[in-house]
Amino acid sequence: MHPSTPPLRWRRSALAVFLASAPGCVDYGVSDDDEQARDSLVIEEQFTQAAAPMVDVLWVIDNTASMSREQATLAEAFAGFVSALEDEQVAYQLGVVTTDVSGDDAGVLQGVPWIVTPEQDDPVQAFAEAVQVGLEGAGPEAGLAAAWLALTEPLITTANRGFRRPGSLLHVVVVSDSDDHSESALEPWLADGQSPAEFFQDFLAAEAEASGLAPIFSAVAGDVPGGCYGLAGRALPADEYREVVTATQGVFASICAGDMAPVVEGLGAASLIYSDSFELKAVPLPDTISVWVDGERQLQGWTWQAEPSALVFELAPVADASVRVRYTVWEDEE
Amino acid sequence: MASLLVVGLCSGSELLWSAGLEADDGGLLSYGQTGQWEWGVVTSGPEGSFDGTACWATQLGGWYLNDAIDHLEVPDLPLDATDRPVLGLQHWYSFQAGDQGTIELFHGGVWEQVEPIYGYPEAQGYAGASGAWQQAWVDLDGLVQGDAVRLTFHSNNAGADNGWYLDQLELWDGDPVPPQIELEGCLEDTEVQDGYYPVEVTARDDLGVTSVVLEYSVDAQPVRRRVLTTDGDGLYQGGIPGQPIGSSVSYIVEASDGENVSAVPTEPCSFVVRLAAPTQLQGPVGVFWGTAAPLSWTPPDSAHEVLSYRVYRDDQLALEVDEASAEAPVVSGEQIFEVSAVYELGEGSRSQPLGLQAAVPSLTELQPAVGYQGDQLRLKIEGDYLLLAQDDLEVTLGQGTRVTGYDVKDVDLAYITVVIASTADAGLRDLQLWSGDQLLTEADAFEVLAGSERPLLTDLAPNTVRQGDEVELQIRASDPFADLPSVWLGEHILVESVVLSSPDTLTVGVVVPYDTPLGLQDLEVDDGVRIYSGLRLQVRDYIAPVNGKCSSAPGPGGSASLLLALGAVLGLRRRRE
Repeated sequence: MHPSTPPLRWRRSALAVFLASAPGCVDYGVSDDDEQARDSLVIEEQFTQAAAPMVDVLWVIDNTASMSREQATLAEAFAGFVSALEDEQVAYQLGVVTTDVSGDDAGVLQGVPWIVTPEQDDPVQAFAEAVQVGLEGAGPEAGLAAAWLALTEPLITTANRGFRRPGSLLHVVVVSDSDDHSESALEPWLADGQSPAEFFQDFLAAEAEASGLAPIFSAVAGDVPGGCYGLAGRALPADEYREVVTATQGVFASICAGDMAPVVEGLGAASLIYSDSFELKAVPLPDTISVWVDGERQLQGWTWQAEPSALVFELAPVADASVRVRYTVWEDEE
Repeated sequence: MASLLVVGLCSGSELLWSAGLEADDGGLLSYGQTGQWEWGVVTSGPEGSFDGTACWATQLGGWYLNDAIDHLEVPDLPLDATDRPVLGLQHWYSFQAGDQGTIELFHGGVWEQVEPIYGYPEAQGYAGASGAWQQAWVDLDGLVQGDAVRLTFHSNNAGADNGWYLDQLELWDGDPVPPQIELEGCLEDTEVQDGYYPVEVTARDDLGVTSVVLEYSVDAQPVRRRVLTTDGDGLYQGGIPGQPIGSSVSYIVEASDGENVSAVPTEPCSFVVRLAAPTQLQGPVGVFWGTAAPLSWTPPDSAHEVLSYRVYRDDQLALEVDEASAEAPVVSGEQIFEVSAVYELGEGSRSQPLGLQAAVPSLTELQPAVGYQGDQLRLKIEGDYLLLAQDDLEVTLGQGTRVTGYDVKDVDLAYITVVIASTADAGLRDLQLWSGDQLLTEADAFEVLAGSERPLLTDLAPNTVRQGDEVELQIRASDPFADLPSVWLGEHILVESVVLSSPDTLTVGVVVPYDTPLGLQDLEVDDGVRIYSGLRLQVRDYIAPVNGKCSSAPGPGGSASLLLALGAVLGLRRRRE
């Protein structure tokens, strides 16, 4: 059922409420005990935590022959990724591309269905099958180019139509035992001296500006700086991927980790973006802040942050939670 | 070229001697420059003998030696009192260029190279590779007891190979040699129904061919025989009578020398009398998204006019078209397409199959599927492979309806807001959904019912408030709400709380700011499925408290002004989504 709670109309903006604002009228709780006769205002703001957040997760999987063991290990762990999203009732869409950009299907989402959603009969199975991308891929592995091709025209409105949704967080996850080698694939678009990592960060920044949500880039790749040795042999240090991960505050995990399950579940958790901070429109007077979550007064579990003025929760309120903040300000300080 | 099949040997020929070479070496003699011929279990070349594991070979376990002439002699053949001795043997060979094998006879105190019956494949002897074990016959006529036969292997000094392998020696008296018969390929499928399907073979025999017979069968009926004729040059010709469209014909050809019979091919040739099929059937590559896949093909190479084409999906007729292309309906998953041409004479054969994987957009849920004249609804649309995109989606429900909003949740799920005019015709409607360039039509998917049955808001109490009020309103509907609704009372009035006090009654806490415009405010209630309207809330002027302690600006006008100013400072104007 479509969510139809009262805040539906108000969800997208933090709203200030003039709860009782006739200056000096005690009926409305304005503090006029002030002997200085300064006027105070009681302000109430109401926020609604995001509904089940929307996230579009693009997996970029290395399909060269050296990935046989890693793919097998990851395949077992992918179910945990979907489960992590489903447990949080995230409105997810998952897609898979390969690091091979040499063919006509470069950047084209793999599998049937090629976009996995919660409504499908068995999204765990569908995703597990989609990530079985095989080992026939050609090098060099170009994860950033593959992701860029998948998320831009013409593919994003043709073969990959519907994958990106307005208002949805984008999370790109690369899985590779090599570093990115997108120079030749992106060569026509790279500015002088620009690296693929820098190019991709620019792309993500544009995405952030367009969607209002900063994309996340994560990587399961070779440790930096020395690379690593795992079950399947050596993984090269993934400096390029690491650079983008750092810039987007994503997750960087070693592909040489013996147990991929925690890694993949961690990637799922990283896709859950609930706000734990709600910026206030004014600076409250000390000790005048009252907070309600879903109608219940919260005496603790939150703090007020002065700069910028914001209510910060220790734990983010759950999806669709209604947050009300009532506080007093000096009128002449506004 | 079809291979020869020996189907019978003359009972008049007598087997005088044989050497299987499996249990022993048969008494053969190896000698020459290197003496490399050896007997035993063979692991090179054919990796086995003709009828077991052991035979003679130039090298049993590897390649032959270079720059050598080596002999393998069959001595002591019982040639006494024979009329026409013939030696049969099985051999396998693979030689480098420049190397070869020959057969020599010892007679009159000298060795002399001879040709086997039917000759060597190359001028210099056995050269190149046999590819399989082969039967060879050597005419020993004129040899007497004490004479001998030998295989002589010649290798030069450049390169080597597996070599020569010999097995299954037999000495016959009489005519053990069957005719040699060659057929240049089988007849192919044809659309000819009249005349004859020509069959031509070459046949020869060391003592002469006596007859060549074509045996054929139509649609697995009893075999018929026709004698092929020759002008004496070894070429035998004849034919199978024309057959009607759809006939399946199989045939072989037998040659006889009066003693032995050979037949070709090993497996009978077969062909079908059919009208030509289209070729080059092509369709989308990869997973096709849509309801009808574009297919194209090349018209058949036929003397007959094509009237139409039939497109089959998984062996079922899907559609019939006039042109060599079609938009063929598909189902989700793997499927096989074939195309046939239809002629005046009937339907032709089907083309080579085309495998296609499709993802077909389909609607699985439209909820609710009914609305009323004058209604405003939020419809849930869910399906498979819809590939919905927020900015590229259009839905229509026909006359008197208007879709005013789209909310795409994911590629397969969206909510649309639909306004049904009070003048809309009652009845069933088709849903049409454009997702990109794909049009999905669901017939009779939605029904418009009479507006007199439409759920309504029936009561609002109180129906009058004042600026500055903080009150609870009771809103009642004619039917239960679908879910906890949201309530909208214009841009100024704040809805603080909504409680479903009974299935059809809401208790709504509202705050009426001082700047709320005076007059009637439309009430709108949205329960997620239906958007109710029709009732209004009267907003009246602020009344100052009689005993209130107002420090300044006592009066609603002053308060409202201040609030507006503060609102402007704080930028706290509400926006309706």
